[in-house]
This record gives sequence, C-alpha cells and structure tokens, in this order.
Amino acid sequence: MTKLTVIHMDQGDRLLLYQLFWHYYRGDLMKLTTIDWANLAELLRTMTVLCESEFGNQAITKFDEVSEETLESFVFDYNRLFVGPNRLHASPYESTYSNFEGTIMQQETIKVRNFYHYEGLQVADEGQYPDDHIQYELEFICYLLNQNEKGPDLKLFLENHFFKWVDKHCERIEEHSQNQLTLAFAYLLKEFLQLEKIIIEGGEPNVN
Amino acid sequence: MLTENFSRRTFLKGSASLSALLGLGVATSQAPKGLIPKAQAKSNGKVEQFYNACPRNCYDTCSIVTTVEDGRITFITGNEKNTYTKGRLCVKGNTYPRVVYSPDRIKYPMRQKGRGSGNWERISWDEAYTIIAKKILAIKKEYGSTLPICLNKYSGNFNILNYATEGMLSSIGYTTRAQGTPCDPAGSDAQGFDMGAPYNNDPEQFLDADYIILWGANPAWTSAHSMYFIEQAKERGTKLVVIDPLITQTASKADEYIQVKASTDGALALGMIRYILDHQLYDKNWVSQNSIGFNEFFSYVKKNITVEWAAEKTGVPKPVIERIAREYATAKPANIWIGFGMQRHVNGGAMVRAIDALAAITGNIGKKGGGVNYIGEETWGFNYSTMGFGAPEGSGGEADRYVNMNNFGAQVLDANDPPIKMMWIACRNPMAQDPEPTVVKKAFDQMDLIVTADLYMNKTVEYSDIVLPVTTPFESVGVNVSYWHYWMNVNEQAIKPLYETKSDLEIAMGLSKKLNQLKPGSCTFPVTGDPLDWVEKEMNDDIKALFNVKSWDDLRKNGGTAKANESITVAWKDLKFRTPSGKYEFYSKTAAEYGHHPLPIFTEEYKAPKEYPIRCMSPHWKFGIHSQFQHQDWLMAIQAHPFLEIHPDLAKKKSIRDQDMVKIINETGYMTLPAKITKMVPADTVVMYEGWWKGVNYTENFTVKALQEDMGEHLKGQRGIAFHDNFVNIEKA
Repeated sequence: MTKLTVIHMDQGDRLLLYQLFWHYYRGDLMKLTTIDWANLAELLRTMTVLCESEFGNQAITKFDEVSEETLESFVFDYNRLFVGPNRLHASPYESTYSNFEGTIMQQETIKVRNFYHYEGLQVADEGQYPDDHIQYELEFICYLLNQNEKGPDLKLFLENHFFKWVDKHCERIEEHSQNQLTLAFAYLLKEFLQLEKIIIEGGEPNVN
Repeated sequence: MLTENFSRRTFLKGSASLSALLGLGVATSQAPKGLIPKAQAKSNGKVEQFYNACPRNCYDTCSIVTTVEDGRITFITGNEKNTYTKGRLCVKGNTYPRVVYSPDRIKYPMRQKGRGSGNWERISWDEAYTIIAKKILAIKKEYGSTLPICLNKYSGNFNILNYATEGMLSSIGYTTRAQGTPCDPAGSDAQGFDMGAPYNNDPEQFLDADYIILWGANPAWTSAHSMYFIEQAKERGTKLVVIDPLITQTASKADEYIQVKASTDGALALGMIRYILDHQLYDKNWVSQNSIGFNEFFSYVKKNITVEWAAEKTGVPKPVIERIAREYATAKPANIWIGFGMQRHVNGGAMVRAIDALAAITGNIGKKGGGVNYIGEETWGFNYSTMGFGAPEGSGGEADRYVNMNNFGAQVLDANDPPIKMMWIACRNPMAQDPEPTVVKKAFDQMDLIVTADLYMNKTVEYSDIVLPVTTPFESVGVNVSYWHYWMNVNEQAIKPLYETKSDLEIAMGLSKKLNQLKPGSCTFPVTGDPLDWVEKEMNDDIKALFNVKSWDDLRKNGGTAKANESITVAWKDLKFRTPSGKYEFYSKTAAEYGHHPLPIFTEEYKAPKEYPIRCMSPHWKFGIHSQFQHQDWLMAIQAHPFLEIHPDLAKKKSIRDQDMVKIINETGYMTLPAKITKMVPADTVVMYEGWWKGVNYTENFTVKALQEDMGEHLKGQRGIAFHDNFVNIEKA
C-alpha cells in the first residue's frame, strides 16, 4: 500500500476514478474489449501516484493484460460477487457491513438516504433499491466532488459512509474473486481508497 | 440522471472523457436509474401498519401485523385479533424481515450459461419473457400442442393469487402437470372413503376435549400455535397421549407417551377397537344411526384381531392398549389428531381408516372438541379466477396430461408422446424434495428449457436455465386460508417489491403479453390487471357469508383476519357424510372401486430387506418447512449441518460414537453425515430431518425410493410416497 503522505492527484483524476467505479458498479463495463481495457490502462498510467502504488500498478497491469478468457468469465464472476442469484460473496450494500444483522434497508441505509435528501437528492426508485448500494454512493460522491463548495459535505460522507465499509468490501472481493478484472478493480479501489483517505484527512488535495 | 450532466461538464475541460474512451452509453445499461432531485413532498419517519399472511405450507398459516417505517419493514408480530395466531409468530415466522432483507435474495431475472455451471448473467424481464415465449411457441409448432411443457408447482406459497401460475399454463394450451401431493394423499383418501372428505375440527376446540391423542403428530415443532390450546387443555385436566415411534418434543410434553413400532399404528387402533367392542364401550346409537358396514367391520375385528396380537405387532404392552382404549372410549369428547408423517407408509391409508373407525365407533365424530382430525379444506372455496381462462383456440391435444409429483423424474422420462421438453417450476424445489433425486436430475437433463421462479438460490434453481425473482408476501397482495384452522387472512402489500421482483400473478400477465405480441391469440391470460382487483375477484358470496365479510378490502380495513362461521368449525356436526350412502362408511364400495378392501382392515407394513434392515425416517425439522428457511443464517446458526440420529444400542453395535461420520446407504443412494447418538429414536430406526440441502451435496431423499403409499388416487389424483419406509444400512465412514 502507498506510503505517500503528499498526494498529487487533481480533482479531475479523482472524479474520473470515482466515475470509473460508478460505471463498474452500474454494470456498464461488461462488454468492453481487450482494446478498451488497454486504453483504460493507458489513461490510468497518466496518474503517477496510482502507477507508483503497489496495488494500483497491479490493477493497471491486469487491465493491460486482459485476455479473451478473462472477458468471458468477467460477467459471471461479477454476478457471483455482487448480483446473484447465489449468495453474494461481496455484497455491494453498505448496511450489510455496518448493520449488526448484515441485512439491507436498515437504519444505516436510512442514514445514507437522509444524506441524499439533505443534498436535495434521492434514489429514483427509492424503496425499491437500497440507497446504500455502492453505485448510488459513488454517484453521490461524484455529485459532491464536482462542486467545490460541497467539500465539507463530501468529507463527511466519505468518512461516515464510504470509507467505513469499502475496504471490507474489497477484502471480500480479493478473497473470492475468480477473475482478473474483478480482482483488478478490487486492487484499484483499495488503493484509491487509501489515497483518498490521505487527501481527505491530510488536508487540501492538490487541486488544479 | 445527475452524473450524466456533471460528467460531460468535467471531462470536456479535461483531456479525456471516460465515456468517450470506453464508448459507454448509459442507456444500454441494466442498472436502475440513479439519483434524481428529491421529490418535494418527501418526509421521513412515516410509520404504517399492514396485515400480512404467512403463506407457507404450514398448519398455522398466521396472520401477521407488519410495521413499516420509511417504506421498510422494521417489525413484525402475530395478529392478536386472530385467536389462533394469538399475537405470536413462530421462530421461522419471526425471521421474515430477514427473508425480505437478506442481501442474498434473487433480485433480477437471470440466465445460466450451462445448466449447473453457476455462470449466471443478468437479463431483463423482457428478454426473459421473450426467451420463454419463443420456446413455448416453438414447442407448440413442432409438437402440435403445448403438452411438452410441464408445470411443477406446489406448496411454497399458498396465497390464492399464486394459482395464477396454473392459470397461465392453462392459458397457453394443454400442458403436462405434476399432479398429487407429497403431504397427505393416503390419509386424505382414507378419510374420503370413510366420510367423503377429510374434514377436521377447529383446533381451538382442543380446549373442549376431554382426552387428546396426538397420533404421529409433532405440533411442538410443526404447529406451535396448536400447542397453546393443547397445553391449555392439559392445564384444565385433559389427558394428553402421544403415540409416535419417535420421542418427539411433543411427546415430552405428554401425560403419556406410547412408543409404537413404525407403520403398525393401524394394528394399535384395531387392537383398541377389539377391546372397546368386547367391553361394550362403543356408541351403539351412533353407529346404528350414522354408519353403514358396522356389522361387517365388527365381524372382521372379532375374527382377525386380538389385543394380544396388537401388542405383539405394535410393541405396545397389552395392558397399555387396554387402558388407553378404555380411557379413550369413555372420555367425552375425545380428540385424535393424525399427523401426516404417520401415513407416509405403504399401509398409511389403511392405518388412517383404522383410526377413523376408532373415532367412529366411540361416537367422537361430529362432536365439538372431538373428531378424528387430519386436514380440512372447508374454507378454500374461492373463485380461483386466475385459473379460468382456458386453452386458446387451436390448441393441440384434448386435455392436460398428468405425471405423479411423487415420482416426478421417472414419469417425466417415461412421457414420450409427446416428450417433455420444457419445465416451469414455481413454489417448489423438486431437486431437494423429490425421491430419487438422481432420476429427477436425468429428467432435467432432457429439457430444452427450465424456468424456475423463486426467492432464493436452491438445488432446483442451481439446475435451471432461467430464474425469475419473486416477491415475498410483504411485497404483493393476496389472501390465505389454512388446511387446519378456520381463519382467513388478508395479505396487504406492505412495501415496494425490492429490485426487479414480481409476483407469480404479475409474471403470468407479463408472459401472456409477450406471447400475444409474438403471436396474437396464443395465450388467453389477461395481459394487465391490478392485483387488488384480482384479489377482490377471489371473494364470492359463499366466502363472504362464511367469514361474514363484505369484501377483501373490508377485511383489510377491519383487522385483516376473520374466522369462519361456527356452523363449519365442528366437522360433520350434521352427521351428513359426503359418502355415496351419506353415512360413515365402515364398508366403502368406493374404496373397493380403487382396489382396496372395503373395510378398514389391517394391512401389513413394508418389510425391511435383509441387507438394509434399518428404517430411516425423515420427519420435519423444527427450524424449516420442507426445504424453505434453509437460506436463513439465523436458523442455520442454531444448527448448520444435517445429522443422523442413532440410538445408542445401534451405535454400539456399529461402533459409532457421537459426531462420528456415518455412511448411510441403500440400493438408491448413499450419503455421509455426522452421527448424533440419542435415545429419542428406536434402536431399529435412524432419523435424518427433512429439507436439508444447503451446504451439502445430498438431501435426505438420496436413499428414498419412489415407493408408493397405498392410497391417494381418489381425492388427490395420485398416490403419495412412503417416505418413512426407507430402509438403509449404516456404517462408520
């Protein structure tokens, strides 16, 4: 894991990464080709701090080396981890980590919902999909990150929610992943989370 | 969607747009809509209450009060207005919020690439309907009918609206149906021959009984709410006798427990009858006025039955038989509850007829607090309007074809004209519940398409091509009644259906819509409809009068639960039996027509083969209903793995110690599981509880042959399975 204490990562990069994860957890990346993945690797290589970190580098290498075989089993592994129909190996819902019963739609979910409401937002199908699915949390983070004046709110959301459970989520993926791409995303997310923690907790990030 | 806007803005100024780079079109995604501006009127902290009905295949069929806060269930409890539920749920019922909110529910329609591979991909409902509808139409074209399509649906959800699945299949043409029931067929036929129908007294009348015999029933585990009335009766001085081969938890609460050799209960009843006849303890008036064939039966008993013989046959000492017979015959009224397990033998129907005869000769039938209580269906007279649309014009074939649900695999494989090529499975888990699962798997292998609608992954979903996610009771509307108590329970929609789940009724409408799009007129099932209208349509004048309600909605507004009129809660109160003679038939010509002896005679039990001398019984487990609730980690936390109960004497003989792994084997199959040494089972019997499938690669049915019970065709269309005549051998693994 990175040992850097001063992080040079501009807001555009941060937003791009959050957005990348947002797309990933929406299931938008299931049909990319090996060329697309190589392009993504190239883009990520422009972020020095990421390349120089252990897991960031491993993730980028995995994107670069995606095989057809990996692409074939990607969706199956993704569903095994996050979607179903079997028992989920790495639930994408915050409350399943933070609630003592490990279920969805708990008080912890309502706290996330209230945060959205406070910012004037809500899940489109509120009540049908748990508000604390990582996809919504990522979208919310992008929304806050995109507005400079929302810095304190973003910090609060990350510290009270996203940072609290996503490490554990990544651990479960690492434990159960059977595919290089799902593993690469776990590595990338894990590393990015560390960088974000330093940026958020270590004061002002270097914003262009 | 918010992010679409801000992403464009951000990346236009940057060097690369992620969307452009990866060619991402948000519109193509299966993801739900994202965040939107908050609706103005939203307010948190709203608390509501709804009435729900537990729809499981359970005597108790509880009325539930559900508390919903901010659109999510925060608490459930039993409805106090229902005097049977009495404000309490059972251990399984109390886990319902977890059933709804486990992250492991099936959330989306999914397709498996390679049956059993575990490689699942998400598909939309439209894709699912299209794949299924095209297959149905292709089958109809190739075979000239829809008979190659087989429905296997049963008791996973007894909401009346769930019969929409049967209705949907009927609406595409004539199909093949898994017919019969694994539950009660032999006993129901027996009561059908004796009285015209199975019909039980209201279980709340245990309070009115002077004497109770629980005969092969274990309500402490399987009908917790009945136990309240039984315990209360005991408090008032009613004697409770439990007759069972196993020392069940119910037996532990009895005043007297009688351990009978399995499958000899008929002999015990006949021995008691002999004593009662010899001592003139029978109700001469009752039999002369209300029965036919008593003299023939009397002669049969005098000629063939002695108490000594019964004692030897059953293992119950003669003085005990005599005393129980005397006590039972002289108590007024005396109540017998026959459990379903007792009739899961090759002579199950004959045994139930013998017990019925015991109740009849003592005049206990038609009496409040008495009765020979097994099962009933007096409150089930709904319209079943989801089932009435009929085959479309031009359907090939003349009628549905039936295969026996209890020998499903073999009969599916045998069906050749035309062969079965597609299966629709709902409210059922045949891979875990059927005998001879390897044969069932072979039948599955023959299918072009297997569609299963379910809540959770199970053995059957694992081996399906398409799984459709279904709603829990809390996410759909309905109405439920019991085959035991006399209440009707409203089921309201308490919360939005989670994810993309749909009820069986919505699935039926959706599939019909797709079929009619692809080929107009190919399905007669309505393509739209409000479930609230559908449920209201179930209520006819008779049902409304019986429960004294104006409508479903009226009941919803007034307590959510209603009890049937007292006129029907005492079975056979008017002593007008539904037999051909209108009387209780000790001598049943109908029985003879079905190939049985017309009298309730003794029928021999199944004999253990030499190489497999140990009986393996598979009674219900206390924390599950059949294969349901296995996904519940709370319940699995109490006991996570199946085990084999073995008597210490048998264990010693086989050099097996507690927790040793034991191999259980017969000609049908084998499995290996840990031993639990206990005196609760007889020395010639082992017990493996029913419904285990999770976390192991076997089920209790691995050694169960499709050995038939003696009865079932008359009222259930098919005979049942003699699940408890499963003979095995065991050895230390």
